[in-house]
Amino acid sequence: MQKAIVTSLSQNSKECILCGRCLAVCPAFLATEQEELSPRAKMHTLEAFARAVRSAQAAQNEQSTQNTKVTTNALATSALPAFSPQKLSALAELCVGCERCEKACPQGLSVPRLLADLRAAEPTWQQKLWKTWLTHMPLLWLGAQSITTYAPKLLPQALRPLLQSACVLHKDAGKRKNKEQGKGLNKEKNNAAPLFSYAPTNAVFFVKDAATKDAPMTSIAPSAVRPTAPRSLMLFSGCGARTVRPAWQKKALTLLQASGVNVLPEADFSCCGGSLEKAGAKDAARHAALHNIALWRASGKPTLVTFCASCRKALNDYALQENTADAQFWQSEEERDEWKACIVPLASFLNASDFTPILAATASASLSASSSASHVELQAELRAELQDNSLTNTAVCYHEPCHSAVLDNNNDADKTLLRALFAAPQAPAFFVHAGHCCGMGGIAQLSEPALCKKIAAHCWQHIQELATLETALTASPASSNVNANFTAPTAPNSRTSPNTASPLRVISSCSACVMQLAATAPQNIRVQHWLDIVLCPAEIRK
Amino acid sequence: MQTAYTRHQQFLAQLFDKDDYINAESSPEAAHIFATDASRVTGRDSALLAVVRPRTTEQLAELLRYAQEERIPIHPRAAATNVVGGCLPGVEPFVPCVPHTAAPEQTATQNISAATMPALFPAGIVVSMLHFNKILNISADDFTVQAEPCVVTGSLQKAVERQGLFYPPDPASLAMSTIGGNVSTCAGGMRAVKYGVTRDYVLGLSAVLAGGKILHCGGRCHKNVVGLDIARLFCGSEGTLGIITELTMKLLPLPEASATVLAGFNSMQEAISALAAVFRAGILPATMEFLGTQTLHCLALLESRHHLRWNNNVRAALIIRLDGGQKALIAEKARLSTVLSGSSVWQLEADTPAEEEALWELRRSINPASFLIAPHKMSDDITVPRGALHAALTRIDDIAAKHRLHILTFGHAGDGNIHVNIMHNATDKAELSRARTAKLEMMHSVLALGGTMSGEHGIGAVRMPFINEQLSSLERTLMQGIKKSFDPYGIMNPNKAY
Repeated sequence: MQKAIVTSLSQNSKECILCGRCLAVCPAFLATEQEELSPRAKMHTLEAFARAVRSAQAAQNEQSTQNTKVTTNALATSALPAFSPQKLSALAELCVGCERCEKACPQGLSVPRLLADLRAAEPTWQQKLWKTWLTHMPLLWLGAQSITTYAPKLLPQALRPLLQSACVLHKDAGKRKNKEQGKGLNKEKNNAAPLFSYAPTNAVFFVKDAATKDAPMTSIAPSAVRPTAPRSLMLFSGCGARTVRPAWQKKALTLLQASGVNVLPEADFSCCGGSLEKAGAKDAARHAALHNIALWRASGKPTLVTFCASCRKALNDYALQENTADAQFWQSEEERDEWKACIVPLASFLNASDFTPILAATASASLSASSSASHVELQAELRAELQDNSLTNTAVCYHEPCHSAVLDNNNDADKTLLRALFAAPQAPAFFVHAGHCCGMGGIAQLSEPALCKKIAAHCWQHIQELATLETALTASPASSNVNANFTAPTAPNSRTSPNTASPLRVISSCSACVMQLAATAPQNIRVQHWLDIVLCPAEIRK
Repeated sequence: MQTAYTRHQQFLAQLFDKDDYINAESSPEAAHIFATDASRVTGRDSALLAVVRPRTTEQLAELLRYAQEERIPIHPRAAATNVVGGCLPGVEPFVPCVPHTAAPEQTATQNISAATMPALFPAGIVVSMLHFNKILNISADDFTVQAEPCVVTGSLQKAVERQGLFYPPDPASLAMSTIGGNVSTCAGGMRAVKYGVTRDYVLGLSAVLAGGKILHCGGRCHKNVVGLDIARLFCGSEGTLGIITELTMKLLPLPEASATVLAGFNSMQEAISALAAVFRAGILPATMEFLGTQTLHCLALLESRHHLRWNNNVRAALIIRLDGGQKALIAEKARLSTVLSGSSVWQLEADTPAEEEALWELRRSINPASFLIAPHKMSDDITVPRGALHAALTRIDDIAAKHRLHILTFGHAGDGNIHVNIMHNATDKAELSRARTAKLEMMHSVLALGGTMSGEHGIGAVRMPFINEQLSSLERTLMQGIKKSFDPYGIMNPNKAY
């Protein structure tokens, strides 16, 4: 471990200048208020240790003329005030890998990258477990779901939150009787409850079309090919959608097809490798990257469309990979640039004007008028959902994923699209929750479940505080500037109980965020991908 | 027999939860960061007994009772973003303080003398106040905000701005530094020229003193002249008087709009004359930042990052922000343009938040840009009377030329506060020595002009060796006497500030 620390740190060309900018963004620090968990503390302490080891080694080299054999271990330990490399690395491990610190750091230092190097040098059981998990995902998700549902006690404690997420999101999770009445599980029967219909003719409410025989949905033509649309597109769905929530994959495809671009069938991509890389499973990550790049090349280098911010970040990072003797990533520098330009979020292909808010009253009425037998089942479900005013009128919060914030400079396409959608006068109240990690944390979910839980609680506390403020402002915009006196809703030091929340829908644009938030949500808060709030014409057709 | 060390650790372990207590001996890895701060000076690890994180005032009071009884140094800490070593434990006394073994009455009349200097100060406790981070009340009627000390200043600003209120002090660290830390260092910022510094917003506070007494002073009144102003005495006290547990700060109405102008000049003299002309014309800008020739040179190296094309004749620049009512602002901006048009060779105006942001990003990129010139810097924040700016800047340029160094000058020229970065390569012994000499010469010139060695960073531990350059022995004796009346045994952040 000592050698791993020294080697990993030697790859940083710059040192931490202790400015503290990372304190403003690090979820582990913000949720615990423990400064020793901040990126600044980790970098500073690891650097001090590595420096001491190096100077001890230098001293040893000077003495080596005497040819006495002294282990570096013994030397370094004597040079330092009782730092244990194991404890040092255990402290550094308390990180959820959101990569916000790298973005904030004027020196460009990254704790997650440093950790990946450390883990690669010293793999432990967690990494192996995580690697197994991701590489055998479909099988494990399915197995996990049965276990979570029917034999929760068999699960290792560390895996429970994650498996519960899987269970919540699995396509037919709602239809199974949920025996686990425990924390965080969303017990509502259906995860859809759309808020917007998508009709790229830019002309009509889908419900109207559905109700009119001579204007069947099949005839709806796309408004126009997007001016910026590339020649061909391909979805990169990611593990979350491929194994847990195929509905997202289907819907994303429908949206793309309806917008009139040439969509190639999705290649047999593997995991994006993001979590593998951070877990230190570098070989597996490299293998995944090589596989995915090869498929992209073989498919004629289409634009890769993602709806998961974490996948998008990981795919983007392929461009940082350098060719080595045993791994040829790029055929040329141009290809590397081409790749980077090809990774695009789904939302950037969609126009807000093609969406129409679904109103409880009108939608329900129009549906009743429809006589098409094929719509019956859907209509029943929809009507039930839509008549539930508490849902259609519930405020919606967009949780900005860390990886969007890091990639897009707080200006992601998903947020832009959603802001435009909810600007419609009939749309429910909408606000953006940015700057707080959900606590998913990749490998930390296995190795540091308690930290992940704390970060999730902190995230929910913030979302709920924001919801209170936003709804108060919406309710009385005139008085808020003049007379509103704000007093903290709770006494100092007493946190809002996570299980007593006012109804809220939280949407996001990252499979991992959705899984983590769904697993940790207070009871009457529904968590979805934004794809879930959109109803496509194709869904009426089926 | 139980040692004092074990007794202390047992006491702390009982008083604090597991997560809120770090034994520095058994967990040196976790404690290491608490021996340093943004000054990048690291104290001795052995000077650290423990780190604790109180959650309640009662807990803190009990800690300070025990610490006084046992004469254990206490080092209050928030985000530790100060750059002068204000949070370091184990700072050896440059200026001798009261020996921790002496009773106050015995030492009350003792003068500061080297003879009383203890050989080694005992290991202390770092008190991380980060759990005290709630906004307790925002009153749009009283124009006050009541908050615990570790609310991040930027968050406090956002929270009050939602209600049309305004907390103006804006130190560069506002995204991570805390309101309590800002009070303890009397933080300034770019808006100080119009709105003043942190001190001007403190209305009241609660604090725990050494020995465990709890002090409440001031309140929500914007005016209060009953007795000495103890609340504001805490401004810039750097943790030497007590630990703040609650603050009441004054607020203003939020200005409706703002606009920013970047003006370039042929010379530093032209820029400083324009600055004076702006004030003489009756314009009080919200910020008035100066960029010297060397600073512009650095920024030009970063040109690709900020997409600004420099006019090659520009040797100095001012970035000026106006704020106020929408309509009044238009008239004010026109007046400013007229004043500047006489001397500036280049102007850029920004009216939308995005355009303004691009100009301020330039100001913020000075720090990373500076390292393109040399790997190390000595950073000072001297302040002179506004009328002496030109003399001070000329003197600094001369010193730079004499010692063959790049010295960057930039900052809050509107209030006479200039950041001076002496760039150098510390691994080159001769250059390091030239930089040190330049720093001393610069400080003497500034003091000779009636200036101060620090406008906003403070003294902390790293500037203590220079304290006698500015403060008289009478001033220091009085300051020590004030400290003694709060902290009779000198346990609160010893050997710092004054």
